[in-house]
Amino acid sequence: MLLNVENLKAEVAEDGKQILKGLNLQVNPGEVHAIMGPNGAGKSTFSSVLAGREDYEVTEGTVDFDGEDLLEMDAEERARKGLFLAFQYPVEIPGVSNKLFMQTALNAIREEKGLPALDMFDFDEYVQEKMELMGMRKDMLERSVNVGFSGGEKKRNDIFQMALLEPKLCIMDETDSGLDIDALKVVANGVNSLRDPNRSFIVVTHYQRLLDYIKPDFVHVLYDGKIVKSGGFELVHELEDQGYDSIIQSHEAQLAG
Amino acid sequence: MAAVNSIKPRKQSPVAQKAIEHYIGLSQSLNAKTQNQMLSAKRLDAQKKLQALGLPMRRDEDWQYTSLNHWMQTAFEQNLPGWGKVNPDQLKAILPIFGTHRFVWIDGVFSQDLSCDSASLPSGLTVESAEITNADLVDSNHAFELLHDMLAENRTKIRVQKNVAIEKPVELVYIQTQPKSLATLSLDVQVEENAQLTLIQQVVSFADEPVCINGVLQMELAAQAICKQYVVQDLNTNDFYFNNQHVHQQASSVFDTLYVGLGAEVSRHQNTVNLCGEYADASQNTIAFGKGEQTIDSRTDTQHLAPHCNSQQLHKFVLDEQSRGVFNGMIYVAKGAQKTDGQMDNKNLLLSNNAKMDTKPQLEIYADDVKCSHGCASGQIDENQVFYCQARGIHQHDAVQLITKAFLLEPLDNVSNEAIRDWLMQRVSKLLA
Repeated sequence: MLLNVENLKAEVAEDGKQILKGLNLQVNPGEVHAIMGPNGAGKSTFSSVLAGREDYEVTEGTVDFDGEDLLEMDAEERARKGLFLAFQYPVEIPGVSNKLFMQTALNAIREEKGLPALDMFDFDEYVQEKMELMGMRKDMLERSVNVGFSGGEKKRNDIFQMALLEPKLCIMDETDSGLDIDALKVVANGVNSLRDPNRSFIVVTHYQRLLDYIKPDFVHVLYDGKIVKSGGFELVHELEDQGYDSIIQSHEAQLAG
Repeated sequence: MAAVNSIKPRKQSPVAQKAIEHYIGLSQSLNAKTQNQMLSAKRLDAQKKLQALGLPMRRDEDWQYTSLNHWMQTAFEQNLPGWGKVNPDQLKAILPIFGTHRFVWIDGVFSQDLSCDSASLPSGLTVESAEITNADLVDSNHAFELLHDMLAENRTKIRVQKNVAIEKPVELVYIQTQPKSLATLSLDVQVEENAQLTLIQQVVSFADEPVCINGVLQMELAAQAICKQYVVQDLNTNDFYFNNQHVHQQASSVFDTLYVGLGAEVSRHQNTVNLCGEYADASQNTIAFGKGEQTIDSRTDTQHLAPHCNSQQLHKFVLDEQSRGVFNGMIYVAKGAQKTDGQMDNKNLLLSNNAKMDTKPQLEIYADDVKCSHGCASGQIDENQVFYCQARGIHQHDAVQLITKAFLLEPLDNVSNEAIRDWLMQRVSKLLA
């Protein structure tokens, strides 16, 4: 198993508000899991906790990542071990070229794997190949990280980084939010082209549209800090037809009963 | 300027009074050596003025954030006998590897050995040093300009003749080697019509006790002249640096200056740029990095005196530990200076809770058809940016460095000469590592 989340509870560090209330999830290598849920269910918190954002505090539970205790690691260590978070809002870093940023990141991860650092020339060659794969325009490399990028370009840039860093587990935190259909297809194609028996995905989203293109193996509904229903791809369409209400109601009824 | 006798004397602290007397003493001994009566008379005027006006105090608005207390406590000396040691490796580390017309001063004294042969300069360029004359003095009320007038012995004159573009930069290196040494620098730059000059100035100290640099630059840019200037102040953190630059620009001339303030306990770099001819263009930028107890003060006074002139400014400070940064910028637009475009920006990154930035951008506009703006922003490093880097595997420490460096080096985007840009980048990056 690549990822095993057991009874994960977490709260907002600042005010102690509990968001995750006993979440369980198992992900095997090569699987694509979608996590859906209404606003406020804890979707983004879950992504942030997995990636190691310090705004949240884990109060209970365990997360095992590739045989190691993920919660013991800081954010950079998680990334080095093969966890990748695609951001809902990729961050702008003025003055740092995309190229330098990615070269620094790639070499950090290569260091972890015991591989030699790539110099500028080797990196150029490596990057070229990946750019063609992702249909990236060359000038994006020379520009500052995400500065002046459109929403779609930012997301594409994040997926491009994913392709470069070749992670074991990709967490997509509402990558589809605010994307038009063309940009959405680019993201979906990127993900699909990176699918691999040794790479797993957790796709966190509010809407089914992205999932129509990605076709996840498993779909989970997150509500009130817990996964309340799991199923296959068909669950996406059930949600599409009926919305979250019926699932939530039956969950509440179960609790009451 | 006000006549000496009409100035009402200001009460000075005993420490300030002692410092004034010390420098008057130095000035008197210079006067004893010179035959030039007009020069002596001017020096005497400056002495009297300084005695009456006194040294700047914290209650003077322009000196509120820049303390001279430590400076006053050291009696700096000029014309110390001999030179301290100039370690070749130390020297090599600060000099650029690209070709320049290099001139070197040690403790304020010209070093023939370390300088290029002035006979080998390209035609149209002259660099010469001569005894100062009364005409070279500034005659202002500014304490450090008065000290300059009292203590300058030589002035260096750089002249580029009409229609000549000098390709290689002229590089002036000022090295202090002896404890408590004071160098009073006087530089006169003339770029004639349609001529071009690139000027690199560096001040460094190889002494382990405080030294002081006090410089005045006067520059005339004739019509269509272009001067690009890079000033690197990389003294030790117990040193003092004062520099006052006066630039006069005629029509369609371009002045592009970058001050890189890295060292000194107290440093103050002041530009006064007079845009006297139409369509003149001035860019003034700062890269400042402070740590420890340093105070880095950069200021500009941009006088738009003719129509259709542009001025742009970007002043960036990164302040760590207990350091302080000071920026003061004035854009003045005279009544007739229509279609002025003046932009001034000051951005500061504070790496520590104990670092402090004081900034005062000002506009004074008397024309009615102008485009002027000023802005300033000070803040701490953006944690979201750091997390984004960490989420890509970059160590937190490296992430902070990457972001800081990018912030600080932004003014280098304006440096068109790649070799100079790379060299400046290295100089600054070394400090951030």
